[in-house]
Amino acid sequence: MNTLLDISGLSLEFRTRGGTVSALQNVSLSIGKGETVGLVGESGSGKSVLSYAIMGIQDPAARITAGSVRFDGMDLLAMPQRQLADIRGREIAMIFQNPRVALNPIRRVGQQIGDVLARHTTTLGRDREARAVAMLQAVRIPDPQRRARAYPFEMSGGQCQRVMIAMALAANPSLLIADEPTTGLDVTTQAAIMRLLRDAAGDRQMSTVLITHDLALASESCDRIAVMHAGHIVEVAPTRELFAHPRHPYTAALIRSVPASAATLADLDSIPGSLPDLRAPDLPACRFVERCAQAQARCRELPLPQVVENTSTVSCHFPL
Amino acid sequence: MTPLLDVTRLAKRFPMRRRAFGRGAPSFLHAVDDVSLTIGAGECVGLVGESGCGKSTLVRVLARLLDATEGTIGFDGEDLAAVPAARFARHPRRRELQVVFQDPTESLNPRYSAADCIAEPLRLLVGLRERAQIAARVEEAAREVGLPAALLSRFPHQLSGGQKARVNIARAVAVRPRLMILDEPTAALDVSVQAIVLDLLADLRRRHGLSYLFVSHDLNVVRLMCDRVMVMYLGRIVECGPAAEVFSRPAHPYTRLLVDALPRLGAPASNAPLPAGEPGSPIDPDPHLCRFASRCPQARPRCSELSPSLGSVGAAREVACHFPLIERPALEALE
Repeated sequence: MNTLLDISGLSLEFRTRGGTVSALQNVSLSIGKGETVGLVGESGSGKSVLSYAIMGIQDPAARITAGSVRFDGMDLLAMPQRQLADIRGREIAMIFQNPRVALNPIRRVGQQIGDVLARHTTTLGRDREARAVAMLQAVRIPDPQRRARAYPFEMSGGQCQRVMIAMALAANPSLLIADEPTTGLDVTTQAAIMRLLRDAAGDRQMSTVLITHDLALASESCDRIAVMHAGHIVEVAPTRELFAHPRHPYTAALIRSVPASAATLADLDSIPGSLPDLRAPDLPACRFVERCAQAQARCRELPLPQVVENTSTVSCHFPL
Repeated sequence: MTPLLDVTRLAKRFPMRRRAFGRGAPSFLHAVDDVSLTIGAGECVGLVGESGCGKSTLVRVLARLLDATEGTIGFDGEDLAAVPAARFARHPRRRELQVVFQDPTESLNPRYSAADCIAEPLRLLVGLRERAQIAARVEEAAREVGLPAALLSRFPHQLSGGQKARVNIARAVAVRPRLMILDEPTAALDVSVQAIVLDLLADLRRRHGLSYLFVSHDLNVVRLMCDRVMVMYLGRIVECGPAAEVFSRPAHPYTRLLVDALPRLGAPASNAPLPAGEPGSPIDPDPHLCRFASRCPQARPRCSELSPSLGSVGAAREVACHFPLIERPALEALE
């Protein structure tokens, strides 16, 4: 498969008063054209930081210390801001967790979609309104003609998320980054939004990065899943393989902690401990070591190997 | 056995703004409508439904933070609905009925240490005065919930999400309640700590014979935790029964849609139908119309003529539907 996005050896730090936070370390991941990749892990594992780094919208305190992000052959990290601003929204679009906060509260939703069209497409001013209505129709908002004139506060959470998706798709991007797109929505709305994203990706041959803490949700929509823990990608594997044979102890523990996987409460496991403090200057080589049942001395000291097998990669000295 | 909590025909209607010049009939938002339920001693009953279905209002009425418009709340033989919410704070039953709220951060006072948080209800509801006595009960509660004593002097911002959840649970169990209302107790937690908190709750219930009303939007968590489950839609209970059965063989079309919408681990997404549109308005609903009819994949003319009430289908199961799924062999064949 042709690679669309190639992240290689990416490390990112935050300089804070409390010390330097090593938020991402040696992260490598590639996403093929038309592929959907899930990024899963606990809160604080670096999922969102990674997606912001791809978009070039990281916090001013963040500093990329190593690695590269190549999109369609172009080096995004070396690109001037102006050129990057053209790519954001046109080639790489993002939808955020809380659509109510992400939308402009004082502009009608149709106008907001029009703004994207004006910035990134050649759509003429007089055609923008019709195009915005068509986009709302495409994301299955009932009565799009009338709803285009609504303000975000007049719409439900699920409808706002649909508007966000319409804005993201307006310029026909080749990569969509969806950061927890259904957190806070009801299960039925969640199912509808996920179906919409799957259909949109399928119709346009669009690649998708789905960031979620919900393993079951990722398993339904993704071709491959990357598991993150404390700023490392610990395992990447095709979805079916990841669930059938998790290779990293953290992946296995995470799967056992999902309520959908358990028949009774006794089957449900938790993961002991918590994420290490990423400000510590002497972080162990494997950041899962304190929580891992099969950790040995070498896990702390020796750099992690990247064990590649067929289509999956695992960063562990003792893969399962 | 008489149930600990016996709620009959409970309703909560919020008056809406009057029309101009007070003309026309005032309209009401029917948040909770004709809800009857029981919770036995030591029983864990789940309450599920989408946002806006009236779960939170029902919780607030049952916790006596809001006054009911109609109906009774029998608690161990006493009608608590007769006590105005404003006066319930000093009612002797306040101690027996405790609530654990959804967000462990927002429900703790940021200027109270963990020990102060747990001590406050001991002073106010149990009436303890002596410092040593209070400290002993606080430590006992912390031990119950597995909160290390060293953390008791910390403030909420110095505690992790799981630890804050424990403080909230400790605060509720410290006064030795009989019924705990758990409003999405793990919604704000990572999956990695969710299991610990669920285990803790199951364990406390076993040891103290507590009754739980467990409110959650996560059907899988309810399946693991609860003996019985109630499904709520637009202010009404539409289905209730043993949790395992309700989720494996839903009787109400709405429950079926909820179950079908759940993402399954390691399986491709289902193409089961999703409810069309959004829930109807809870403002002055048509009393003759089934409230789910507008979204129901199998609505028939009868559904818009007569609103179905909760009736039994099989042992221990009840459903408010004219055409329940578990009596219809044609649909069962599809499973």
